[in-house]
Amino acid sequence: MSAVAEDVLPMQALWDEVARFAAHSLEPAVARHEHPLTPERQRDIRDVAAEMGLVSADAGDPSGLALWECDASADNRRLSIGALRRLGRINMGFAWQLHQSALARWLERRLRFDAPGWNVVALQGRYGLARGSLSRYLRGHAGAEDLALLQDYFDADSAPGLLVHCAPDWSGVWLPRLGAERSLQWQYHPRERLRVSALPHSHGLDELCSYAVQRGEADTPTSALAPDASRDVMTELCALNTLGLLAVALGGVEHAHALALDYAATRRQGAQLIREHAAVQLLLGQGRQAIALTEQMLDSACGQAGDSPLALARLYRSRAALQPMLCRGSSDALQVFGGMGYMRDTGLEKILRDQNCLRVIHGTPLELQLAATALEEDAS
Amino acid sequence: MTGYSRAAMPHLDGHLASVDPLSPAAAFTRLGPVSRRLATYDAVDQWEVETRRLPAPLQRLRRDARAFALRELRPLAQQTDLAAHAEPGQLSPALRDLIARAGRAGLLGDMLPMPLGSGRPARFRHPIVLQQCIRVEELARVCGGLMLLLSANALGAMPILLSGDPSAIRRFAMPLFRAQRRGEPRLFAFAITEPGAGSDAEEGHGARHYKPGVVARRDGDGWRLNGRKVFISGGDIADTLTVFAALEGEGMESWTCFIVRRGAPGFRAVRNELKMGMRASTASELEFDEVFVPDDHIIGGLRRGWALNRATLNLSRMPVGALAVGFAQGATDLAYDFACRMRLGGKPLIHFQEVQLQLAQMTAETSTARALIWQSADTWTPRQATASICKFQATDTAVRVAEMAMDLLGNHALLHANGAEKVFRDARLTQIFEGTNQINRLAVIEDFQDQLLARSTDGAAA
Repeated sequence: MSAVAEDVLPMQALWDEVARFAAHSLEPAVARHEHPLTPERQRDIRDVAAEMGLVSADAGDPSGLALWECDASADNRRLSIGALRRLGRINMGFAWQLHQSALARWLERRLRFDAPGWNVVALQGRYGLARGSLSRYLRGHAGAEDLALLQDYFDADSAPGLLVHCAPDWSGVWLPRLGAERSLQWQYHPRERLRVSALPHSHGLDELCSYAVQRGEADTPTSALAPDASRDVMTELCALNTLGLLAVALGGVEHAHALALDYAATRRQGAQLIREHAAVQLLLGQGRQAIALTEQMLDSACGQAGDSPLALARLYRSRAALQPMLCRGSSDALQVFGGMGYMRDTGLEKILRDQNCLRVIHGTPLELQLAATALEEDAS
Repeated sequence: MTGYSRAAMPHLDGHLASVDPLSPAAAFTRLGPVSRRLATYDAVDQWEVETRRLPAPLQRLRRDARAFALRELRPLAQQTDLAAHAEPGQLSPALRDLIARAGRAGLLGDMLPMPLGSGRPARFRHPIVLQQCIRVEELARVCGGLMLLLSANALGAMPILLSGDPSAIRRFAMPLFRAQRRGEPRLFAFAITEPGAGSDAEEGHGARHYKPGVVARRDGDGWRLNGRKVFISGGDIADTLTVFAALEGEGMESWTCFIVRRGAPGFRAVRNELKMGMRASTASELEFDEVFVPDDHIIGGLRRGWALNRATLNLSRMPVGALAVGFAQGATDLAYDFACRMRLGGKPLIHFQEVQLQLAQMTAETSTARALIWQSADTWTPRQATASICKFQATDTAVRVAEMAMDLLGNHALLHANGAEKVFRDARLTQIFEGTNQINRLAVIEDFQDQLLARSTDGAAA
């Protein structure tokens, strides 16, 4: 994608280009759902994505159109969401991987730090969303107990460390650390300086792997963000991550829904096509509803100004409501297939597993609700 | 209060220590003897509470089943789930050994009392369905795939038992039960589903319009079977299969149950499916190419297969509900373990109110589903609606509780080693097999059809 002026993005043309890339480069590689992408093939496809400017190869070389590159621009957000959605329709694991890489690039640009290779941001601490403590920190209201909990939440020094889910050939991780001035700072850790345990056999996102990462002994540069800037960075990261998770999940449910529609239009039961049965129409309706509401929410989120804690709370509440619907829509698409849906060949079960992953990563619905409530404390 | 320090006593956040004078347990001890007898109870866990509600023979069955599951299934569960896809007919030494042990323990032939089968006679004062429900729940709690490997056997034997034909039971069921008791890894399988016809085999309206895929053609003193069956649990490794086929030139009303033995010429397992879960149990595609079945290998008589099939499903759907309860219990137990083990901010998650709320809800949903199954099974009469209600209600509960467990574990749920994701993958099948939950809901209405038509204003016209 060639660079164009920021305010005249030919959105549809760019999305079409992403869709062509997904159809030509990605789809043939993931057509056999029971055989996950090999790391080598994945790297090749990712390189193509980098060449077309979908992700920046490094933070200092913006294409102008890469995912999450111009975070403040509504158009860039719309572009990123649309691109992730189109990639998610083909393969959610790959889409999520690009999203994570783009978040790392976003952070590197904010910190003016150029880290080579494919990196990830460890945005989630040991468990959940640190109850309300992270939210209160983002609002500048964290008390001593909150800070103590955050210290433990982001503790990557002691076992088992923090969990990250990424492609096997990741280069490094951005780890948050609560600094001496009680503000969250970021440290880049090249892979070779970390203690890494591979935790194979994740539930879904078969293209990726889970790792427990712990800081190594070596010193590493640490950001020196002022407290307000530190909060802004974390708030924006959480907001972009929420949008990205929903965009990828939306693509996934669209894929599942399209498969179910096709099947329902050919499979017969009781002398009629199954799409004529109310039972199947209700199942398909769940997918349609999830798609419509998520689309609407993402569109509205692109138009909102800035990433304040209150805006993040709205995003969290939306995600808390939508993520179970996206899982349900995918599960109901599987149900349309009956026994076939449970078999790996159809790809439906993989979509459902992937959706489950996106539901529990970076906050489950319950945790998102608690975090949103803490973000809204005293706001009225 | 002298000498008593609330802070020093072990307690969960938000709760008083059980020895606190204001806690119910401590307060009850100060009641008079009669009141104390009415109010106090042993603080045992929920499983023990529910076990003690059962009559003694069933208590023993439940304890034995749990002990077997922990001893024999648990060590195999995770590795079997991750094992390479089994080629048709291949059974790993570990699984072969498990089947042998289950047979020797009397778990495979306990649909009949000893000496006909392997069930302890005292149990048979209580419905067989309730016995099956108690057993499968405990096995499913530990591993869905291994449970199905062992329990599909009962489904396969059921048409023989339901035929009520002493000769068939003597010739086909009892020899296998005896072999199982000796430790021979021989199993039954039940073969109804055909390519392109999942629900049609489980629902009359669909069957009416379905062109049968496995057809029996008359040949001398027997029949030649041709066609394919799909998704047959354990079909590739079974010794004896109850295979349902239509008679040549006739529809599903001619369905007949045939006994097909492993190794019969023309019979072979073509492939095993790659499944989302329940991986220790195969789902096989079976090919019948001019397979000869003699007349005396027909169960229940010609054209009685549809009735035997429906009766089998009415019997087996309640145990399917029970195995779903096992999944819900397994997910709940994993969530409790995680909440007590995982720490945040210096304390285990179990101290957090939102975690306690979630766990209590999981416990309640599981217990409610179990109460439905046990109550229905204990007062068992053959009734399609009751069986279907148990099936869809409990299996929906199982998936919901497995999702709650995954939510409670958060991103840790994704790791295979933590177990919750496997429960979800295993449980998801139960909403599909033995009739999708949509088919089972409609089966409830079908069962009440005549009463509903009588109440309907245009019933006469219909």
